[in-house]
Amino acid sequence: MTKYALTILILFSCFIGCVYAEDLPNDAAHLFYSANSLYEKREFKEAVEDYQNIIDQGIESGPLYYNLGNAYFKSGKTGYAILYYKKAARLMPADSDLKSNLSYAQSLTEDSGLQPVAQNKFTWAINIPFREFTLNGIARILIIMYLLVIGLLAGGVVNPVFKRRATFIFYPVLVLFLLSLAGFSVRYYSEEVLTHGIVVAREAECKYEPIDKSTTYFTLREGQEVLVLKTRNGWRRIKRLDGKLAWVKSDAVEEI
Amino acid sequence: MKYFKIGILILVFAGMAAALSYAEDIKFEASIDKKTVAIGESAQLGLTFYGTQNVPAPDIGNIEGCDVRYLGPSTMMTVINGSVSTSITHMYKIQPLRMGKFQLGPFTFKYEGNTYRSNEAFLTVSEEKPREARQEEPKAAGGQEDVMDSLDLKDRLFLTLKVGKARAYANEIIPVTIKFYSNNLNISDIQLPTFNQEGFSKAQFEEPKQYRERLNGLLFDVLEFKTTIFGTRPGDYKIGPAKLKCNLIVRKRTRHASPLTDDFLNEPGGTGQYFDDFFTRYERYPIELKSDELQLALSPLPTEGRPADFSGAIGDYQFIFDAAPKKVKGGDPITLKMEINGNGNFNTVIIPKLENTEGFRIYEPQAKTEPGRKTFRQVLIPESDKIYQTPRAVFTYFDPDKREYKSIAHGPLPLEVEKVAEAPAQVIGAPQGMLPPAVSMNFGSPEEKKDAPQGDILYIKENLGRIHTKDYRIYNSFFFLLIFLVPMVMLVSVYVIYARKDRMLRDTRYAHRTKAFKNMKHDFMKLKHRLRSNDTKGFYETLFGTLQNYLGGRLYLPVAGLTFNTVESLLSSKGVDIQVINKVKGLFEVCDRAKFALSNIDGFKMKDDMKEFEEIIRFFERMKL
Repeated sequence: MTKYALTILILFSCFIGCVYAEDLPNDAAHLFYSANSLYEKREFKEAVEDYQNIIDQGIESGPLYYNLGNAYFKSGKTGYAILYYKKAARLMPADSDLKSNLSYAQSLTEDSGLQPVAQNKFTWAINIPFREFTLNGIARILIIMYLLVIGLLAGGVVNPVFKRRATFIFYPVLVLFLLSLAGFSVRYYSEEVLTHGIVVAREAECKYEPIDKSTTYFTLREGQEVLVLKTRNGWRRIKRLDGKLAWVKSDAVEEI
Repeated sequence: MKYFKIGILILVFAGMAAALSYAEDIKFEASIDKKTVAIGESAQLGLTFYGTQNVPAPDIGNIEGCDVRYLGPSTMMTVINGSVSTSITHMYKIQPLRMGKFQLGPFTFKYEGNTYRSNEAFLTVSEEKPREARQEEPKAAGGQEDVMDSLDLKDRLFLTLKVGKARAYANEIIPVTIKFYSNNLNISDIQLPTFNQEGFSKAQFEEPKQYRERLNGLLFDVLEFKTTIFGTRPGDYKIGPAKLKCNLIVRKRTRHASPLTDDFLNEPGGTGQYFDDFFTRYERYPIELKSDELQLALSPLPTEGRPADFSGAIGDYQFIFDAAPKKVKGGDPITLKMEINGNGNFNTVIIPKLENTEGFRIYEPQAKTEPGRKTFRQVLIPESDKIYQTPRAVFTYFDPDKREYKSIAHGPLPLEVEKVAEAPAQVIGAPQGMLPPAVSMNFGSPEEKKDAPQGDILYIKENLGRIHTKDYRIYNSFFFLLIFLVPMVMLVSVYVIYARKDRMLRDTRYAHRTKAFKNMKHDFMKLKHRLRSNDTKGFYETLFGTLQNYLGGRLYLPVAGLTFNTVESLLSSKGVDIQVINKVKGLFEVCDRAKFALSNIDGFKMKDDMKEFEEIIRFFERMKL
């Protein structure tokens, strides 16, 4: 029985190892430091290009997005700065520098007083313990909780004495598992199912129809956040945070 | 106790004041539910007193050519935006006796020493509609009476467009009001109005207001949409027409008119209305309402008296000016906050002009627009400790109502700049969160002059951090799924194994049965081996033993000395097919015979018996005993 348990443990280690194993380009760090030097020299446009080159290699990191956001901000492109701060927030939501810069950049946008539609209280409450975690982080917590629940259940099946002794720990673990499952679901819906976008143009006219000559319904300002519902023929169907739907030119809104 | 008494007194006074204010606000209005009726039909006249509910029914006397009957009062209390309004309406049935146009009112009424006078209402009485015609219409429409035809929609459902002024200046904000009127109609899905605004920029509509308004003696439900426009080029323009889409909900009766029941059911006050309600359905008719067009002329701003520093701001504004901190160390920034608030076109408002800026390093200002105000933040750094005041700020704008240019100047505000020996240089890469805002720098460092800090963002990160591929999502990987599935499968397997083990311990009958099958499988291999080696004696001895063991275990009987006679009665009692019992009997007998007379048995017989044995096993495994 011990042999089986060991085999299973090794197999799982392999699985988890595979999940984390990645091939990443070597020159990313070099480019990153080069971009940082350009930033220090106040050559923000060049710094943006270098940071962007790293992203074009198909890799990402919280500090990379953060620095790119800073470089855009210094270049006067607040919309792009907010876009990359938001991207960074998905990878390092607990970073205080990022929170500070994002809130400052948002405070400079026009119409920043527009309030989003109130979030469901239940989902808001569920998200509280996981605010500081990334979606990957919540997924890892979920795996750990799941394995603990399965382990405790298996232990209870195999050994009745263990079952009796572990009952007091099983229910809290089960609650934590269900909580992390709910937290994961809420965050997954918000980040993976819904597509958020940021207005990167100074002003974006939102129209009733995806036609240039269509009547303007409302105007979005740089840095405003919207939900992108679909993209078609150079137009995006967007939903403003207060629920209004309209069409806007694709290049005016970038997806987070 | 003292405070309690004072409270009571205040309440009493407040109540009296409220009562007085109600008494003063009584308004008397006359309205009629239909403007046109056919002879033989009636209309309802309502005499409404707003601001009270205690007024008795006025005696309106006789109206020539009409029969007047008092129906009774109805009271109403409405709360709109926290203000309460009360009213009482006395209803009268007006039955015209001849055709023509009747003027009802104005009515006068004396109440508690005051005389109230109402407006007048008009009623037009036309020729009676032939009864046959009324009956034929439903038949032609397949039994449906189209209520749409009977509605005079133009007077009861319409849209109006109004602009704040017919002449305005370029860039002046012009209020636009679109009102949607409906009288006693069921309207749904009202969409936001649109209007032709070519040559003008339009703001978003405000939250629409809903209220009631009396117009030409009719009470209308009004939905008011407000927005603003401004045009940049002088000239003559057309605004509108405003358009609004909505659905009109119309009641349709589907009951077939029967000549037998028609007279009875259509009697006034008869049972017809109940049947009508039963057979009534509602249909939506999409309609688009259109208002009239308006003319609007835009003039250029007057050149006379235009100040040199005028930058195009137009409206009626106030200007607030402040500086913080007012006491700084050399090299530290000072932020000038300049807030322009009021009514006007904030698109035309730019940062007020700063005068006397010598001795300051000036950075790019930040502007923030909010409803009703625009705030500018201007960062300055005094270049020497000999600076004693901020620059003076002047804001110039054109007031379109007074038709004149105005300037508001503030400052200079006193400043105190402390001299510092040498400010420490900002070290790039210092720990995050410890850096001052980006404007913190060496006093008068020449290289920094070209840098224009654009805000108080914190510095960049030095390390790339944990990097991974863009599509790296552990929850989208196959392994994530596997991590969930494999333990679940294992848990189920462990559960099944341990549940079986547990049952084997607790359920001896089940244990015997399981063990019997397991042993049989083992013996079955032996039998096959004996069959292949043509060992007749060994084959039948093994077959006998296997049969004994299997049946003993399966039927929960002691194996030692088990014979066909032992099992026969049990099998019969359990309803086992007689053919199977005979097969079992046959096998027992052949095994017995084989002990003594092997010569009668050949390889074929052994194969047949083996097959019989297999069938018996299959039967018992299928059967629940």
